[in-house]
Amino acid sequence: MTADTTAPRRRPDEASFAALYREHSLGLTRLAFLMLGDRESAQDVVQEAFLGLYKRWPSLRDPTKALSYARSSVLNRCRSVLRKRRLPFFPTPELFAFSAESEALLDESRREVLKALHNLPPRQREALILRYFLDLSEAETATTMNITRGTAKSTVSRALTALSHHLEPPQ
Amino acid sequence: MTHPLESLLRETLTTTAQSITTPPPLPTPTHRRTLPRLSLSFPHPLTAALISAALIATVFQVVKPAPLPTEAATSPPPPYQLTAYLCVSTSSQPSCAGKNTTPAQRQAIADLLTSLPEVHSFHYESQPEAYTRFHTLFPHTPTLLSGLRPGDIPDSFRIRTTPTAIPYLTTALTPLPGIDTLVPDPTPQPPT
Repeated sequence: MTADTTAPRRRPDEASFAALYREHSLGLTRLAFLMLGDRESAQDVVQEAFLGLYKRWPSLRDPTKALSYARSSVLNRCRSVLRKRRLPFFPTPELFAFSAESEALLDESRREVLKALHNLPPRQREALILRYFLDLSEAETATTMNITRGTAKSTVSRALTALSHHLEPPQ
Repeated sequence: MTHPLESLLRETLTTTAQSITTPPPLPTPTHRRTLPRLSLSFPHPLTAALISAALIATVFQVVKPAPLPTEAATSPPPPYQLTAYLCVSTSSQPSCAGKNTTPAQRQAIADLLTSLPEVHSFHYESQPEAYTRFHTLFPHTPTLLSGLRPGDIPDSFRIRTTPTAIPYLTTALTPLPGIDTLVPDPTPQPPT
């Protein structure tokens, strides 16, 4: 025990962490919101992700990759939340896409898109959101989702096909 | 290629995302958990006592210590130091049982240290002294200091001894009640 308590530890660089939070917490909350479809879960996920990031901050080797790390962390936590929602006794909160608020905010065709998006498997939704909301390149999408570039490409393409099937059911 | 679906999707996502206008709050805790939280990568939030002990022990090697009051130092003081941190109420050590070291226990430790020939000299640092020194060591971290109270930094006996005597002293001191942790300093101290 004495060994690890006496080992010198680097202390978190508070300023750079605060800067990351200031610049990207809103964007990351939006990302989580699109993934999860409800505001409270999205905020929880981002808050937890930043706490986790703070914990790892001193051992982060490349500070330029902090944002990409934060994104992956948010997505991973979103996956856990979505997984939990499939369990019994874990009620899914009312999703934005089906709420009265979205009726006021979005026109009919966009609401259909949003509903269809929530019917996609999480990975496909993730790929679409990264590609078309964050405007990440294929390579960046792949890194963030921790998959190969080829898989990212095919996931996006399959997701688009599935989305169009959801929107226009085959006759 | 820009498919009509792609641009529809892009617009939908952007419009939907804009319904979120505020990021989640990330408040600084105001209660005394500030100190353990700082060292979140410890397997268990050990205690304020242990962590501050580690911080002090680490920095103590960098900052030249103030001259220790020694008991008639005839030969040059041995370079090695062993620090016995005493119990505080926030400690998680089972031997501490969440209580501060009593004055009687402290006296017993001091008596034993006086009687051991391996101990060259020792110095008692009280909780207010440790608290003050902590403040002078970390003046640039107001978040850390704002959550800190005088009782959070444990008092300690700082013992000057030879490296060969450290295992023996550790064995001799461990059974005493009121000792939280014994921390040997791994690097030689400059002679005072």
